[in-house]
Amino acid sequence: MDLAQFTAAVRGHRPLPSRPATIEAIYATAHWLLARERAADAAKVFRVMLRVAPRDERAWLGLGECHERIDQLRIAAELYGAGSVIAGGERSLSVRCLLARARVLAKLARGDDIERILDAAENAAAAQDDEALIALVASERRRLS
Amino acid sequence: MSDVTAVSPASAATPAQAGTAPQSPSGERTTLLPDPAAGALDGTDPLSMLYLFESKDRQLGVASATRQITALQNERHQAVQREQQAIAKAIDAQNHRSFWDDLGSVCSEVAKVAVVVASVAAAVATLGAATPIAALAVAGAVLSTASFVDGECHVLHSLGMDDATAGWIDTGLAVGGGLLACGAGMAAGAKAATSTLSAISRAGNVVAGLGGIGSGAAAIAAGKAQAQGDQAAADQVAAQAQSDHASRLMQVVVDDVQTADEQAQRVLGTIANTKTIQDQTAVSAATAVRG
Repeated sequence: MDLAQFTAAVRGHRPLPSRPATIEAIYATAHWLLARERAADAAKVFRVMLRVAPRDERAWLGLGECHERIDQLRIAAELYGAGSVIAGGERSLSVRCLLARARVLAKLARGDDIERILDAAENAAAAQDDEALIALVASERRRLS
Repeated sequence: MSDVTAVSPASAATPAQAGTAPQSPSGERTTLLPDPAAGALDGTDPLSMLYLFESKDRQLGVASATRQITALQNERHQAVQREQQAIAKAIDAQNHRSFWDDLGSVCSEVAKVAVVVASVAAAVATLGAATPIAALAVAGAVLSTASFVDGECHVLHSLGMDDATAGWIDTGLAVGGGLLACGAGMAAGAKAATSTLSAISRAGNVVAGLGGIGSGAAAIAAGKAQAQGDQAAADQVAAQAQSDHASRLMQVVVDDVQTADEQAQRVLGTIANTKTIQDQTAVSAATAVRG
């Protein structure tokens, strides 16, 4: 798939402005549905969240998890991959999306990619100077190694 | 988002309450999803919210899909035109070749690869602008919807991916990995991204040109004709690939629109029925309590 076609195809589309309270309500609803194993319903709500708040890593993480719940690991990996860039903002990568992606790739037995992703997550966490994220990456590295 | 505590949604409390982190027997976290904010759904029924978001998703989906289809059709027309032009150039270049014909099949391959790499890299380079971010969000949503409906393999294969292919977002990001570092310094946004895009495209074109011209001095005399031929072949390959991808994606989007609308109707009906039953149950219970 050529990304250029898609990016060009939807040129002009803009995320709808949403108040933070609305985003939180959307996320809470999706979370509630996922907690009750209603992955398909949760995915619908996470998709709304994706469209109105593409920078929010929880939308990518949640939608990816919905696909993991129905054993669509490669789709989940795609979503986490996109989320790691988009939700990371202009200056960094989303550490949690990278970690989620590493986990899925471990399930897919794509070990070669995992180290690279964990390194990227480590660098991103260090760049953000976030001790908790750095600890989270270290924990995941132990878990996946 | 700075909250690091992650809990499993599968056993979280109601959204209005902060959940406690369920842990595996070894004490590890099982998911990276954080808890919702406390009180995010205060006084609101999640089913009603689902109804609302389902409606909203439908509106968003139809509107954006319409734009996608229109734009994809334009893309396809342009790709076909480029393909025709490339074929014409190839025929023209063929007429000008002489004994240098045996040169450059390897060089031609180099040119093709360079063009494709430039194309992918150029696409990724635009990630710094606001619009492609929204585009990727829409792409993610469409990918997700289509996968739920048609299954993972069907969708991935529809997009031209086999099991060995990393994937379209994945591939783009992997090729553009170095560009992300460039993007980090691009606070200026679209303008800077565009200049990177140009630089990458130029670099790709330079490689393509070198590949087309051939190896060493042997190609000097016929270099131009050979280069034109190879470049035309590369253009044709690229145009064909773009056309194929656009067709595949258009089909996925068209299918997505058709099924999403039917699905949305069914889900809205189900939720409405569930709500009605809930309301009736509540009324019956209240009546019974009152005696």
